[in-house]
Amino acid sequence: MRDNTSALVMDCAESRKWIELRFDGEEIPDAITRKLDKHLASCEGCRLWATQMESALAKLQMITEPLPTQQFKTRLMRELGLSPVPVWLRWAGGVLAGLSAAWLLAVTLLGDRLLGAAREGIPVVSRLLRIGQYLIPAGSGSSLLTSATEIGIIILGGAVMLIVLGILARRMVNRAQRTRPAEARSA
Amino acid sequence: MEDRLQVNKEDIALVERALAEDYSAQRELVKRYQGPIFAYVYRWMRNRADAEDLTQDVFIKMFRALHTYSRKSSFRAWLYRIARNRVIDFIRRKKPHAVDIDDVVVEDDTPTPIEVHERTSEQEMLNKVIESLPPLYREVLLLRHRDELSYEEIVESTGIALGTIKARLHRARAMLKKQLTEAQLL
Repeated sequence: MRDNTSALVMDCAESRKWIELRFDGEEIPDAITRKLDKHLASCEGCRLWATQMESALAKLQMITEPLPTQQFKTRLMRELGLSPVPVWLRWAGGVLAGLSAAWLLAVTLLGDRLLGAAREGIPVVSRLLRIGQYLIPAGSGSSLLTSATEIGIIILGGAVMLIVLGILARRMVNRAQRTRPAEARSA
Repeated sequence: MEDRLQVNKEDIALVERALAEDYSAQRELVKRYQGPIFAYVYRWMRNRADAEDLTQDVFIKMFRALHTYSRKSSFRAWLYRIARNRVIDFIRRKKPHAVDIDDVVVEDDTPTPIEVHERTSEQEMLNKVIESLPPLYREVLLLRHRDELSYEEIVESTGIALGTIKARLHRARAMLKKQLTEAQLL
């Protein structure tokens, strides 16, 4: 190994400083690069040093560091209020919304015949039927009604109330999940 | 370098959406950094339970402070800084027996790489060598060469001056090379 301190020729210490910078991906002036390459071509010690340093730094990518477990990842999302809504709950919400829409449509179209049957029964249904009568002129579609469908539709009215309650409960659960990061941000 | 800039662009876009209450963006931010932050915290804690608790704290703090993040700097470095501060708080308040972040002296009872060489595999040996480095040197070495943070990001995440970072990194590389040579891993 040589140790030339001349300004025109790079010595080992300077050479190694530039080699480190090269490993860092820093831009090295062309003139320095030429001097460095010249030095490396003639200095076996620095060549070995550079190879070993490169190998040492490459080994840092080989070390094994612990990864977070799936259980922790799930817990983290839950604690942050970021757990995704389960698929079954999304499906249930969709089905409930569809049933509600179907019931409302039926009541609206067939409301005039149902009014009498439901007036003294369920106030909410009765009110909906009045809306239906207002929207659709009396008599339209009523000839298709049978007593069985009337009963069925009234039962559906009760189901709608449960559906609405279910949707509201779901929204409350979601809100409770989501407020946590929002609260955290505003704190 | 371009990759790093691209990553930060994506991070900033996610931050913008997360601030607008976009929950998928919030989830994506957590997914993207839960691994690196956990690994970083674990380097100090050496304990999975504590590392998990602290990682959770880091993300809670991240959401709490997200509106203060300046888009001009690296989001990753900003997040690492939160993690580092949480680690320091934890060590100083709750775990005086944990690794002292300011302690740069290698403990005497730590077996040398040569001592453990015969009874461990190369992989374990490598981990032992890394662990045997003084914490502050190990920190910058891993931030630079494992997590691939730039000098600017390391300065930002640690709050240490650039000159000090460069000096520590130079020393850390020399120590790493020496230890690996002694352990016959080079």
